[in-house]
Amino acid sequence: MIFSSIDFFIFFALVLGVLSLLKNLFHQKVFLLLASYFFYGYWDVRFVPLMFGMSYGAYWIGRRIEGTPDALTKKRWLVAGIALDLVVLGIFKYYNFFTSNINEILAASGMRMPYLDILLPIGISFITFEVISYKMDIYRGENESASNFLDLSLLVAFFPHLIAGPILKPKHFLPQLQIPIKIRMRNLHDGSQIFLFGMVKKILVADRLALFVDPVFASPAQYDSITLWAAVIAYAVQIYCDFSGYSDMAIGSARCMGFDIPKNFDMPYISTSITEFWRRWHISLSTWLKEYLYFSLGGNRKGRVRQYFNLFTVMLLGGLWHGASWNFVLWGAMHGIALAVHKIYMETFGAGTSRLRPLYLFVSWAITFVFVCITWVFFRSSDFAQSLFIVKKMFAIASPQGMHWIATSLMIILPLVIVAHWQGNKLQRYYTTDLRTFRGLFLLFFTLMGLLFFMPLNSSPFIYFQF
Amino acid sequence: MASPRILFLAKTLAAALAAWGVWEVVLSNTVVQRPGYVTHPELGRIYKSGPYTHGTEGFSRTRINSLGFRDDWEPSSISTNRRILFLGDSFTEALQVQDGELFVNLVEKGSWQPVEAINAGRSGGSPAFYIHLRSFYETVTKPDQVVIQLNEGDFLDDALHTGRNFYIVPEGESFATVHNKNFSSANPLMQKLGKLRGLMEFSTAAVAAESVQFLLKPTQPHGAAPKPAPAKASVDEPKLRNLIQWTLEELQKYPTPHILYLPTLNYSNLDEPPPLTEREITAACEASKIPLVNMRSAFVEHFRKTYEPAHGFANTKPAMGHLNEAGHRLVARELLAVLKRPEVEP
Repeated sequence: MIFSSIDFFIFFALVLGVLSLLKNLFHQKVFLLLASYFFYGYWDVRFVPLMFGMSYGAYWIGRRIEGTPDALTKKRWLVAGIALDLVVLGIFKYYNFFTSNINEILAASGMRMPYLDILLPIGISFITFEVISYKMDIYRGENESASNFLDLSLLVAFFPHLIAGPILKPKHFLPQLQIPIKIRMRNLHDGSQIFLFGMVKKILVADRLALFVDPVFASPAQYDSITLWAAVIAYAVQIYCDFSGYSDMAIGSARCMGFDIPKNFDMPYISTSITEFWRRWHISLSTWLKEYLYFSLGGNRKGRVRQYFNLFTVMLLGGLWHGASWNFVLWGAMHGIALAVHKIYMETFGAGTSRLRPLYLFVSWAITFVFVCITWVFFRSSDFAQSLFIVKKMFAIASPQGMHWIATSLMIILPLVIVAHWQGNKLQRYYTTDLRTFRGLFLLFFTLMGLLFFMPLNSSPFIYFQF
Repeated sequence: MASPRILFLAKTLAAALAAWGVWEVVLSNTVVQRPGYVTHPELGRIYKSGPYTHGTEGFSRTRINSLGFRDDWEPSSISTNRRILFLGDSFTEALQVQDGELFVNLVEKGSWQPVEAINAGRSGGSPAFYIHLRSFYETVTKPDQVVIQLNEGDFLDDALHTGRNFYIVPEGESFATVHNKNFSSANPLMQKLGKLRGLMEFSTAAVAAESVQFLLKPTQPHGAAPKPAPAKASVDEPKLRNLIQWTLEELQKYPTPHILYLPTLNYSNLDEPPPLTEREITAACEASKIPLVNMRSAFVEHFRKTYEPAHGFANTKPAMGHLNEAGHRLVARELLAVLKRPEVEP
């Protein structure tokens, strides 16, 4: 069930209706948990026991970590808990990837490892990060364990963020579960508008851009260099609107129920450095990587060289987290190197006097944007050879010839991107249109009708669902 | 004084109507505006005369005449120029390109002598239409010359489809055409709408109907294996040959007929051999001495030289779908070369 489907609207209306009828907090939480499991099981019911098991494992180990006074035993419980999570993730997500690579190495010897015939459970990476951060927070003393299994299960399974984040911080979300849920008009008013703008980004921008991006990436040899550049930039916009649209819908639906989920994006493409980009892009992931991986590796406390290495390692693993493919590893490595290079640059030249000059800022922005776009080629392409071919053709190293096609949809969409981005950002600062006025109602109906009229007839699933 | 609740309801209704009105104007000028349909006693279900906007593949704003043709020509118009009647399907009707850019218009403009070109292209048209309506077309348009556009689909499905307005059925050793007088629409949704079909004259309703059809389609469950594409029905070669031969014999009854064949090209493999239908049409034209303009080599050569496909548009996938402006120019060039030949001129 995806947020932009009729199924979800029926489901969500029922959830809101039942929640408003239930007055007891415990009953509300039980219902919300059942609804979240139903939401997850709607894709494939076989995934539900896995999520339950991971949640219960985290709860049980969290209790052990908290209840043990001895530091070494705490650490052992933590390591065991994380290892368990990574084994589950490894089996479902990476086993076949590593097997295929090992089999290639072993090919000469005639040996062969067997592949597993398994489905990748949707949202497994997000669930894994959620349970790891829960245990690490308890270990670090930043958070107490959940007071009961119900609360922890809800932290993991809370349906607005379940499939593609944002990754919730236990210390931020668990306290919200102690307050009775009240369906308030104000929250519905604001939440529904945030949700609607997420839908606009997804349906009117991301899905329409996909109509242009998909064929070009499917057969790049047929298109000329300019078209490839347009498709790569269009993909940068598409993935942003797809993912931030999903995040807005998650934030909006949670808001309707009175929950507060922090924002996940902050206009990333205005960044003037790669470091700034990662402060603005997929904020909950970059924060997670920084707090739970970068700091654990030593951060910047073990010298400069080690810091650069840590940055690289974190991004490399961040890339692998996105998917079991060398393309994602390479994408992560490129970002890791760029972060390290930017760090070295800043340490060498510092925030020099020229920093404020408009030209300097423009060049910094252009370099950052072009770099990010080029790395998206590796993220989007089906394999490394295709990525390399696209990049070569973009820079006319391969033949720049081919069909010229800059879709008019791109021209239609750019103003929409600006409006949605601007308005979406305002909404995240809790600015909403007053739906009691004619203007507000007109905007609401105009947007709803626009969604119906311009819905592409080949709507694609959210890109981040695969991770 | 009205209660606040009634005022709010009135405001909501006004806002919804205003939003709908704005979208109606926007969509009718940019996406789609259809004048609706009427049933003509001879021609079957045709467009009403009026303005037509088409923006989902290419773009055009044009007018439909009283016979449902995309043409300014009317049966009452008087002209002493030579008349060329163009028969065909949506490739000839060419709602994807603006007036003046169609091969029909370009032939008219580029002809060595003053001619009046009549575009009787019709979306969903097939040889069944051209054969069944021959006497009507001849009587009404009085052509000196007729160009009949064909493509592969004409003989594989279109002409034999009993759900169409006109279709061909086998009759003993030969074939016959049938006028399906109960025809209402080829679109299943339109068939269900019954008398509400008139609503589709609103651009907003027409666009929304497509979206609603999509929304109501069952979605594929996660992880489910994709449904295999339906297997192509095997072609009964002798039957196809007979059908093509019979069709061309019938079309030959038009005054000075020319066949225009528009192939569907696979631009990623231009050396792909022509399909059986194309080969059979070529053979049948040679046997019956009907001049044939096959666009395959012109399209291929042009693409090899310029990377400009003859099919597809900026707002759809290039190299797919109907002919674009470049394709129309190439067709006009080839047609003019043939129509100029002294042996086919009176």
